[in-house]
Amino acid sequence: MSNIKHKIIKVGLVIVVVMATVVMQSTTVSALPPIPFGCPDSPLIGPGSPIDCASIRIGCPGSTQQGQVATPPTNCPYAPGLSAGGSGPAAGGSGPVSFGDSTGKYYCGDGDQVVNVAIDIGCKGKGGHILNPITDAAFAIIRFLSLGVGLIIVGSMTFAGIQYSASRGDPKATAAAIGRIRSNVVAFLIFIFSFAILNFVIPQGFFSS
Amino acid sequence: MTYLIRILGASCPGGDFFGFPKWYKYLDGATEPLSHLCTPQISSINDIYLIVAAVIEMLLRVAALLAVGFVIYGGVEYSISQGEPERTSRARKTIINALVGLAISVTAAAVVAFMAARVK
Repeated sequence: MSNIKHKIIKVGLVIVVVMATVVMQSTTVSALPPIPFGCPDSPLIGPGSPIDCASIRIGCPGSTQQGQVATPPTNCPYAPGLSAGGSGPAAGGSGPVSFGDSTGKYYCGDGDQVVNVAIDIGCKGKGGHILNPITDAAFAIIRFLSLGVGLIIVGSMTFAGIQYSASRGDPKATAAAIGRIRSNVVAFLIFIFSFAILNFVIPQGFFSS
Repeated sequence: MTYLIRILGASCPGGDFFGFPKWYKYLDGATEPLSHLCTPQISSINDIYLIVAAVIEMLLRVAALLAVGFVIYGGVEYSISQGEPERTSRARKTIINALVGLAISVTAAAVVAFMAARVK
């Protein structure tokens, strides 16, 4: 009987930890800004139209090579920053232009120290602060990784659940599953503390900068 | 000329497989208006985690199926134990462990669904 009690306590512990992950994640995510996008000048889609501009993102294929200004084809009526009509060469391409700003570029850093980046790594440059590009990119990578911690821990916890289910009452297999859960908890605690210390050390915190 | 219409929060349709979620379930879909071809879009590096979330959800389905299977297995074992205490206790342990594993996984399932909605 005490064995069952132990198990119930352990499951309760897991639930508490998972809930803590949720709280952590919700605070983490709400600190991020909304994804920037261009609001098109289109009669179909735009402010005042049946489809709300805030719920839709529009893109045209264009050249998005690194170091070049991304130019969507001018005859694309829905391209951000372009008016409808006009004729121009339609550039080939598989995906839409990126949505960093009206020209479809992403930046790290701010002020006179702006660096173009090929993909959106989550830099917060061009936001009105004076920000070193390297610091900006480093903070962006930290944000990216700290978003992943919760997910990976939940995935590992799911695997531990599968391991537990499949143990068939074998104490050795159960112990392995419990060991995995314990490792998850330890990893999560390490993450929380490193997160807190980093937020304490960096003057404005790496989420707000 | 090709241009894509992209709708936030709507993934591409199709690709159902035994009720398992699609890997692009949480990714935005961009549809070409003329051909209605839909492609999942990865616009930011954070979108990788949306794929991870979908994979975890698949894992959860596996966990639930496995747990149900082991509960049935334990029940059969219990039935055919013929009152032998050792086999009975082993069958009971099988069932309890299957349920505990299911509890762990299902708790994680709710979290994944919640978090994927937040990451978006």
